[in-house]
Amino acid sequence: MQIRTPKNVKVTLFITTLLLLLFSTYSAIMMKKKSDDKIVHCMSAFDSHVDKSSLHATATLYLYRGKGSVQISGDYISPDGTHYPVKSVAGMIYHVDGQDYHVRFTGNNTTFRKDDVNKDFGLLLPFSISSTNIDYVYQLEMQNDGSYLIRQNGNALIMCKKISRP
Amino acid sequence: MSDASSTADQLPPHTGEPQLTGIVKGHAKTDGLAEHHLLDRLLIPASLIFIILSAVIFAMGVYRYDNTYHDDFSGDYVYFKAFSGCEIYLNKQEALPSSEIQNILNAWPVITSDCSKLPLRYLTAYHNHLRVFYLSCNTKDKADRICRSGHLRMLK
Repeated sequence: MQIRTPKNVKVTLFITTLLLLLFSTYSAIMMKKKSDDKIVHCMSAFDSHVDKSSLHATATLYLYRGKGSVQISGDYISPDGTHYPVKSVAGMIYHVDGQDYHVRFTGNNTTFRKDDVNKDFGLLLPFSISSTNIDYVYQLEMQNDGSYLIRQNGNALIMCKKISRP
Repeated sequence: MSDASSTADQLPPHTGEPQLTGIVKGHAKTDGLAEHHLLDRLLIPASLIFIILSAVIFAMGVYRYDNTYHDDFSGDYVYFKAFSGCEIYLNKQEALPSSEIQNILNAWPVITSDCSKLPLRYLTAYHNHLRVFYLSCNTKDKADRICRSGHLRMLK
């Protein structure tokens, strides 16, 4: 025995599903817009130790619409215990794919008071900022307090505290 | 269509023009009915396709653009022990033997420095890379927490 669906039910179902399709398309467009307009602006205090050298610095990350920068300023402590101020700024371009941020550094400017700090500085940073033709993939996981946990290959590198806009 | 041809076959031989007009009208009517019937039959499959498309579009949107929020990182760590006034937690994914972790803690007292201000230490130690990443946090309160990031590289 064949059960026939009344025509008005079919039409109602058709219109409802059409509206559902329009709504989901609109939602996806809005999600993309929100993702494109997202600003990542955060600061991380970090300490790094390699052998007997160390770096105590803050890193500020700013990402917006495919471009960004990372600024690092702090003190390098040489193996003999001398403190040297260091400052570094690197520009980057990026694109987002889900949780993955595909980053390419476009250049950097680092200031040291002592030339041979440069070699140690690269080792002390938990991520590279000097390679300009390499794509790096980082994952930015937003935490409950709005901070970002920055991972590479799933490994936690740095916790970056959100900087609130006034 | 077969209904329409059978209707034409049953017509008497000398019916004249009015009957012919009736036949043409009958054809148009049955064509319209068939078209209408076809549309009627397509409503349900079209609705099903719309439902599937809606789900796919929405899922793709969430996957690509709206999945940045995650559970707190502390869920990835498991309690190890108290050491020098700090509570040490270890990354579940990088499980090193306890003795090796103990050696790292002994060799690098900097990992457990400043425990009075930031007593929680979340350690990720990489066996192959000779690197340790650690987070030093002041509280377990997920909504209001201060953390410093730490990085050690051992040169051999």
